[in-house]
Amino acid sequence: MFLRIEDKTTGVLVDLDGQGNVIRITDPAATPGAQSPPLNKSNPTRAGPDAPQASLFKGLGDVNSSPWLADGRIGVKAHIEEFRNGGSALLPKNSFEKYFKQGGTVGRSDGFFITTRQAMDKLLLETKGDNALIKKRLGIEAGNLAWDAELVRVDVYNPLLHNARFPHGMELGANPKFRWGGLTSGGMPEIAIDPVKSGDFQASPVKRQ
Amino acid sequence: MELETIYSNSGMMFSVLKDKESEKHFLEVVCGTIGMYEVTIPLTREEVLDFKIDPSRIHRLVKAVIDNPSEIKKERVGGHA
Repeated sequence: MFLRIEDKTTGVLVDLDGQGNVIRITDPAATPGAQSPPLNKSNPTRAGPDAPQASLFKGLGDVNSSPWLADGRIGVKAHIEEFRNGGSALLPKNSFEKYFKQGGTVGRSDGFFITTRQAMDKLLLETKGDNALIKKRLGIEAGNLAWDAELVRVDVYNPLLHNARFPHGMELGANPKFRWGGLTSGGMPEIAIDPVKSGDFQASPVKRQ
Repeated sequence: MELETIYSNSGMMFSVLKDKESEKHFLEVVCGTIGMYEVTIPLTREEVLDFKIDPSRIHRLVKAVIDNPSEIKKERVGGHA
């Protein structure tokens, strides 16, 4: 089995084998001789459709933009630092287009929840785009038909520039299974940030089976 | 059913929709965390009247949907989502 994921924004192609391993990344913006060699899980640094745009993920942000970095409690700063190189979320394309067009930002004002880019890459690789599995891993009801429509993956370039913080369980949508510690009930790392505006993220379609 | 958006709030990511044929109103809310999804529920006549008087009056219901999307949907059979 073979799966090809295309980032329509950049034209980057990511080929996966039947086991979810990244076989090759083809970046049309790179010179022919600089295309990715065959990849595997032992070479994860370029694994992911956003890898060719790594220059946009600059690891910016400090205690001024994310005061929680100064929190002295054990593990808090380390957890937020996990997001220094980018964070990701999934949402319906319809919602993304409607509210981004209207407000110029992505995410709810009470908190935009993201996981790390690596965790999102892993989720999409391990589920191989299987819609039912993605739903299960994210705790979305199997019967939720809205989720079956087109999805957009939002990758935030520098989350620590946007008031990165631990979810405290009081945000809207923090479900009853919320537990302190920065992990979802499915074990994915998560933080909340403020809504992000154009230029601070990239959006790409998610292909599912 | 042909729905038109009559009000939309990008900050809280919700919309009030109206079916052009039946004139029934619906509330569409983006719920979830890392994986976000839409939930749509029908509005009662009283909720529509309240909304028309002051759109901010619907915020309480929006928060209830975001906090308990499954329960709200079960309560209001007929949501098209």
